[in-house]
Amino acid sequence: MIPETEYTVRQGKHVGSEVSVTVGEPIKKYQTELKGIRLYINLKVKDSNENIIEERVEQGNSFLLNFMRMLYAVLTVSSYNDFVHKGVVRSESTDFLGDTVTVQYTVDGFHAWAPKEFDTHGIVVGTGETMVTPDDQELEAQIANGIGAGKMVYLFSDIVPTAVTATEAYIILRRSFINHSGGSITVKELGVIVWVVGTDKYKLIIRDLISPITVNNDYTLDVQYVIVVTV
Amino acid sequence: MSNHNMNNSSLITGYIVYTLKTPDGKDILRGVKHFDSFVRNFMVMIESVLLGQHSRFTLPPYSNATDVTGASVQLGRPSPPSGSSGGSSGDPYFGWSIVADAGDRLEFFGLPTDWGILVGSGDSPTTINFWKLESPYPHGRTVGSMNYMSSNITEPVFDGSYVRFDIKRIIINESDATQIVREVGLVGLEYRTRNKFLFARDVITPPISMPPKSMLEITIVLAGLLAPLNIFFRRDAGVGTDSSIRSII
Repeated sequence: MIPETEYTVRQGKHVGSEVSVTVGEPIKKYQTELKGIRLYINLKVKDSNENIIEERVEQGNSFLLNFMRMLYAVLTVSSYNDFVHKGVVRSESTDFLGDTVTVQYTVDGFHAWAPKEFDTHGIVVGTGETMVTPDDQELEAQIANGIGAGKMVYLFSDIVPTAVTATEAYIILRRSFINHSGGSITVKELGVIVWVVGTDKYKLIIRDLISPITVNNDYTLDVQYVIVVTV
Repeated sequence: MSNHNMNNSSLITGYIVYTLKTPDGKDILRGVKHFDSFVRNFMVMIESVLLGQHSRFTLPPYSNATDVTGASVQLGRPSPPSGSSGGSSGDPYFGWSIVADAGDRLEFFGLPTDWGILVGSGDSPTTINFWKLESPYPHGRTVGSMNYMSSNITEPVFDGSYVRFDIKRIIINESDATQIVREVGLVGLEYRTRNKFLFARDVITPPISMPPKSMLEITIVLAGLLAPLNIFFRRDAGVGTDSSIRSII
């Protein structure tokens, strides 16, 4: 019988900064390069004159279960019952093979963009510090849109169309947040919420803890999520 | 994205798990490899999903994808929400299915058969703008074709290590000749237009040599790796392989 071995993984300041994992067999190969859908976060703090005070790039850590549900929905054209119209029978219909089916759930799109001052979806920011879990449905402590204490003004949440490099294709989700609260605000978590169109449902698909970033009064925080695929 | 040259600790990746079987179901060969190559069309699809459309807001210009004929076309979009809070008429078939029915059944209904999990004999390295398999085997029973069976897909779950779902398809070499599989692709069918888009493609090395009447079972696992759990085991993918490569991303 192969003895159990314990390993510890350290990941700096990010989520799960120290994880112990027990495995049942020794390592045969320790590291490999993986490709796939990756996530990066660009952060920029600017003062009221648009001077850049702080700028950094962080790893995006956390595609959530909801992100996979969204992918599943569009790649099966059937949607995902817990994700969309749970328990709602919409209509009888005929599928493209000519069979009569009960259309319980439809997919009408997932808006990750949001108009100015909508804090219901698009990129959102918060002050929570709790570790990300796969089934997170909201930020721990989302900062509300507004001008009062502890609030930030949410500008338009935008999506930049697909661009390519020699080996990559990527899109950028971006939004700016202005702090007119009268004091400084420290942002510790970020996320992306989609509005499931045609419903009243808003689903968190990405959540990340970041190294805290302080936004002084009248300063602006620019957030970009870059989603990349690499061949 | 050259400024993002750091190790990445979370991503959605995939595996291709394949098992070659004799006509009576005995395993001849098992293998697993990373499903590395999502192509530009995949990212355009994500863009399209996250943008949708709206009747009042002017959204950015939509990117075009390239379908399997080489045509540059815009992906289909759901109906825009109506009313201030959204009630949508909706397109009940918004999306790009990768869950293909059996080739025979699709053929019976006069529908395209060249979508879902497909295999081919091309071995050129995938580039970001790939839009079709290099040399796909069409559905059929003669030399130069494969008999594609129906697909199964599992619903997304968090299994303790991954946020994942799997899609599986069996492909049979019904011809009387040995045929070689060197590439695997994932092609989505847009229901409304019936346009087909290659979302991912990988070259299999070494190639899989399929004797006459043999069956190739291919499972593609799409797995999201969450940061605190960024250790994975290939053997955990339910692959029946002896490989136990362990990776830190």
